[in-house]
Amino acid sequence: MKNKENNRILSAAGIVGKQVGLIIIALILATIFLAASGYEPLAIVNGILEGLTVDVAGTIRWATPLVLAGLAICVTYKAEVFNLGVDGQLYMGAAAATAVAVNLPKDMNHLVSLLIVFLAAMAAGALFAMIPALMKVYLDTNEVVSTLLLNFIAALYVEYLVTGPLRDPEAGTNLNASAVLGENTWLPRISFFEPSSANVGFYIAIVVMIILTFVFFRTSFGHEIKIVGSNPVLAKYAGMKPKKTILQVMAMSGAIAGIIGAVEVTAVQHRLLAGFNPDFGFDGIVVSLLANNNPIGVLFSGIFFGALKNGGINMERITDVPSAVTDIVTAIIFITISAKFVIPKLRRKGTEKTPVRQGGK
Amino acid sequence: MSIAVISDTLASMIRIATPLMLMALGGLLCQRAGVFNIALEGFSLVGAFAAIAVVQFTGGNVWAGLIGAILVGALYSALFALFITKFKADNIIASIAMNMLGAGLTSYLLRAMFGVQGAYSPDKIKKLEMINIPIIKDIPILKCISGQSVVTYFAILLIVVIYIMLFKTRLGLSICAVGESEVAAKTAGIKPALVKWQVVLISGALSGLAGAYLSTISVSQFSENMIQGRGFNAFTALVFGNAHPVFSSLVTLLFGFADAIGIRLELVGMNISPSIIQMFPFLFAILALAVSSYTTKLKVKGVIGHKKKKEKAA
Repeated sequence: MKNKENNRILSAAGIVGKQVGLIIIALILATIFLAASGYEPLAIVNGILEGLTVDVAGTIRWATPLVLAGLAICVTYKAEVFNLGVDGQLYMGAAAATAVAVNLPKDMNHLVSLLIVFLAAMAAGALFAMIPALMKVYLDTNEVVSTLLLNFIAALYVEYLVTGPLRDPEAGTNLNASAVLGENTWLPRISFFEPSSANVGFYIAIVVMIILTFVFFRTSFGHEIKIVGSNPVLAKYAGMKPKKTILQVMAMSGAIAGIIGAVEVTAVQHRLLAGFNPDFGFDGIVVSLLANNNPIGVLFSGIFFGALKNGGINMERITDVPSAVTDIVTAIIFITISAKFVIPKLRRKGTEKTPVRQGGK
Repeated sequence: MSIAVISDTLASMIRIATPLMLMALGGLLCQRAGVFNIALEGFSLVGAFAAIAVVQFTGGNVWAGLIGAILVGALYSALFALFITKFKADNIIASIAMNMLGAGLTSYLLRAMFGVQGAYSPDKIKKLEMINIPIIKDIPILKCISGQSVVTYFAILLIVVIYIMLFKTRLGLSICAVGESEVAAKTAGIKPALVKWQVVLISGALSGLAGAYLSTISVSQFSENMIQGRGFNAFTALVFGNAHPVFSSLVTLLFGFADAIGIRLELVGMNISPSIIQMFPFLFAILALAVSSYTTKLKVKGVIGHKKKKEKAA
């Protein structure tokens, strides 16, 4: 028994070790990159260290959306569904949150109005995720392509809202934004970290993480998700409904994405801005993959990427190192994981014919 | 609508469709070879940047820019090819990573090389002249074909070239064989990895050219994320066009039409928000995707197509 436990710890350590190795490789490559283009080579490493020690507040601010995005991805990934539409869903969540918040009475109870705003955002995200989910279930549409396209539609829709129906009439001509929300719909910031915009959203992310961990490892629904993902035929014979499961996980994922939108609007910007989202959804994929799609791991990898993003922004402010270098680090980690992470899966997939050409499945 | 307006709209449809067509033609080869390549977006972004960089360093030479973009596009796609063949990377994840890396690299280099953020126009650029075709340029409506850039005519020529290559040559046969079944292709003496390298490099080169078209011919500047989902639209077009060179190209024209109509509505002064108008091609793409996946589903189920089978069953 004890031996088994030891083995488990060892293998977990092995996985963590590998991920850390990946990060180090990516950072070394980025350092070479910086040196080659004549910048301070250690800028990005210093940025991350600073983010994890001195400027924890900034790291928390960025980790919040990234952890949530990672959680949104890992829910669907367990069921072998690829939700690349987190960006679109969070835009819709933000739009719904704003639309509701500007219409709530200004003297409404703080907690109640926040609850209403967040529920609206979750509903909007989940509903928007239903479009690709229903298309997948009923038309066999590949969700990868449909979610990518829907992202653009959602981003343009928010742009439409803030230049049209929701536009702040008092805003300057150059600013496309909604009116500032009433203070009773502001999600509180963490007072310890004032004046940064690190906010209570981080606690929400942790709560979502705990709920998902419980669902995955302690409920039959979590088990069902895994079986639908690994073997849909078996799932069907066992009396499960893979289609229903797909719809459920997509709804969950969309709802979590909606929370990101609501947090960004109610805690960080306090208004809806066109293009406020720097592709949290795509970063979420890396966050989730680096954590091996484990919700608890997502928390840690989300904090790492938060520190990376924060470090990049700080570095750009202090030195003239472009913050885009963090995107390069993220992409390098991304592509190296893609190499590693398919190896055990390959054996299963190698035997069946992948009908790529038929509708791009 | 007068005839001149129709012809104008059609001309802008062709202009808008050109980069989509180039990307789709490269992408469909990948699709045929069983490579799920949604990295077209990233390839063309890198191409767009390379074109502007080369134009800047050659003192305004757009031809050099186009060729530079083709080479850089192919070089960049080699990374994708390396990962999906050598390291057996998941195609979807590697594609998304390539798009992300493309966005990161270009905005990083924009700062590092030109010291600007957001957008950069070269100091000097000798724009290519549009080519007028005699006779056709005087025929109403049909004259939309005339007065396009050389890249557009190259793309049209490419439809034929890719068609012949895909259906009449050994290489085309190998591409389709690898896509159908890698194991069977291997037994027939085909090297799947080599075929995949070839199709990915071609798609990288063509996407690079598409990007260069956008940055040096459509406009004269590079701006961050300037591809704006065109790569995904091109991918949808090739899925809808069943990875057939002619059909896929026609679909890109349809996408171009959706876009051109939007622009026309804006010019006419219809009171529609530009953001909504920009949605048109995406809405159209979603619709196309739904239709194509549904017909594929019916085909797989045997509801439509496979005439002989149906007769037998009856």
